[in-house]
Amino acid sequence: MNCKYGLALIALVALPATAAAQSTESGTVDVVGTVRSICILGDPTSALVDLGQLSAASGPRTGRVAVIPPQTVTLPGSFCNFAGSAVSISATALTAADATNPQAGFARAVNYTATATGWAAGASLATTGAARDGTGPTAEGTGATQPLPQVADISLTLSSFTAPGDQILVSGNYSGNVIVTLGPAIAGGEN
Amino acid sequence: MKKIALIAMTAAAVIATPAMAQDVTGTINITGSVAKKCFVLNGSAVSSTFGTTVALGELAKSDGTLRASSDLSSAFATAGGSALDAQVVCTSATPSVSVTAEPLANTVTADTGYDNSIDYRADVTLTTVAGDVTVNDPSSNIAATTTNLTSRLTGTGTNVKVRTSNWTADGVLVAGSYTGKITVVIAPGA
Amino acid sequence: MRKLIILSAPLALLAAPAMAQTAVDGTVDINGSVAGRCMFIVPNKTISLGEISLASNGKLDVSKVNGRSETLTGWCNNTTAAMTVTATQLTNATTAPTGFDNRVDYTATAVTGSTSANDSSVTAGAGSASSVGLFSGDIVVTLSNASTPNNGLMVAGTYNGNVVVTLTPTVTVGG
Repeated sequence: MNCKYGLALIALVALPATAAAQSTESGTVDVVGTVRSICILGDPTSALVDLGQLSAASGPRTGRVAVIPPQTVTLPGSFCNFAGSAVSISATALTAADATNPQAGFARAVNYTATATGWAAGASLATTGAARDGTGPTAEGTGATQPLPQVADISLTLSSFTAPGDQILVSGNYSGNVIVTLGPAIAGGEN
Repeated sequence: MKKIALIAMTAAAVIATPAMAQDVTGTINITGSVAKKCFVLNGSAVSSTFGTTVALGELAKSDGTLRASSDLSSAFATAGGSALDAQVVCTSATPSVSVTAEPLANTVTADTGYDNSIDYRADVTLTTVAGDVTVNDPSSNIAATTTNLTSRLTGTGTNVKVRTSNWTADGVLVAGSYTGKITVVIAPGA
Repeated sequence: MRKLIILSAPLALLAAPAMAQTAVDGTVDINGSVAGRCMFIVPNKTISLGEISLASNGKLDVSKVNGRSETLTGWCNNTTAAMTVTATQLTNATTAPTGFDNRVDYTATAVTGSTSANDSSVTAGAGSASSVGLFSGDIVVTLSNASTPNNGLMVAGTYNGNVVVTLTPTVTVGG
């Protein structure tokens, strides 16, 4: 009987891998921060404006309101870091410390116009309209909206000093004030 | 072999909803003052004086003695006329008033029984918001009579009137010119 | 470290003839390779800086940025892997008017073991590469040198940026 033989050679060879492609990996650290919306008013160059003598000392207008030159106070470097801000002013007339109702011919108030400029295209303006007895002394005004974040010097000018009815002013110390407010232009809205 | 350490971290970025920006305010205070002053208003003209010269004419009666006081008082008011009244404006609440009456005097020396000086009383009436106040000063007293008003002089119309009363003299008046003066000083006061 | 083992079929059958007269030997060779690669197990983190402006003057508060860090975890199995850092500045979409800034620059440093790489956001693109070799563990990313271009007031809103750490194996042919 013949033997057949043969060799069966089975080989499985793992093919070597070729040069591996570079697999670059990246990791990311996201960085997030916020900046709050704020406004800051610069410290006024003068927190007190002393007008001195309000009435003429001599001449035909003795005792009546004198010609008082305009006074300017600056709030330098005021800023809001968001869009849509505005300057509002609330001006209160000067009234005499003596609260007694003045008699006919006399007044105890000096009115004026307060104007704030430098913030937006339109100034903020308020003219006080106190009566001669000092009632109704406060007036308010809001200026145009500043559409961009803004840093600027705000100038507040007091001018056009008058007495109600141009009447004679009772003597004594007089005081008034202007409150400048800087903030979002639309109350209650998003900045 | 190094162990892998896994750090469990929350990756969410929490951002608080930005609060609406608050308004910021700055306050400018304004002061001034009105000096106390008094001045005379004549229509719209302002001055610091008022007054006139009152010419009484013949001071003696037919017997050489002083005319009756009531007679001289009304002659004074008539001769002085509206110039004896003034509108004084004071911006202060409590002006002071000082009245000094000087006798009508003649420089000629008077012998016994004769008189060269005529006394009277200056009566200054001031109209205040609370009513009239009268300041009287006799010429026989060198010192002034002063008072501090407790309320303001009225703001419109004449509010100071100068009159006289109580004219007296001793005996026959020596002949010649007699001159005297009433000085009223209204000051703003304290 | 996990080992990757590529198993090759080990079968090698030799049919032995019944009536061989001499022994015959057959040999099967086996080989395999491990690709050089890097991998991030924790590939993404966020550093939340919160409020980054000073309440007193509206400018950048560098103390809110400098020193902040987060940790990524990864590994490379190649001794010549390289790490690079790409720092992208924080920006806010609002245009910045004169006097304002809408951008925060900073330097990001990635440290693993004794190796570090860094990049400044001032210049676009990645920083220089550092060789990290065979490592597995933490990569700590830290921020420093925070600044604004004009030292100006900061526009309000949200600022976003990121730091990308890239691990690149530089591999030779396997075999």
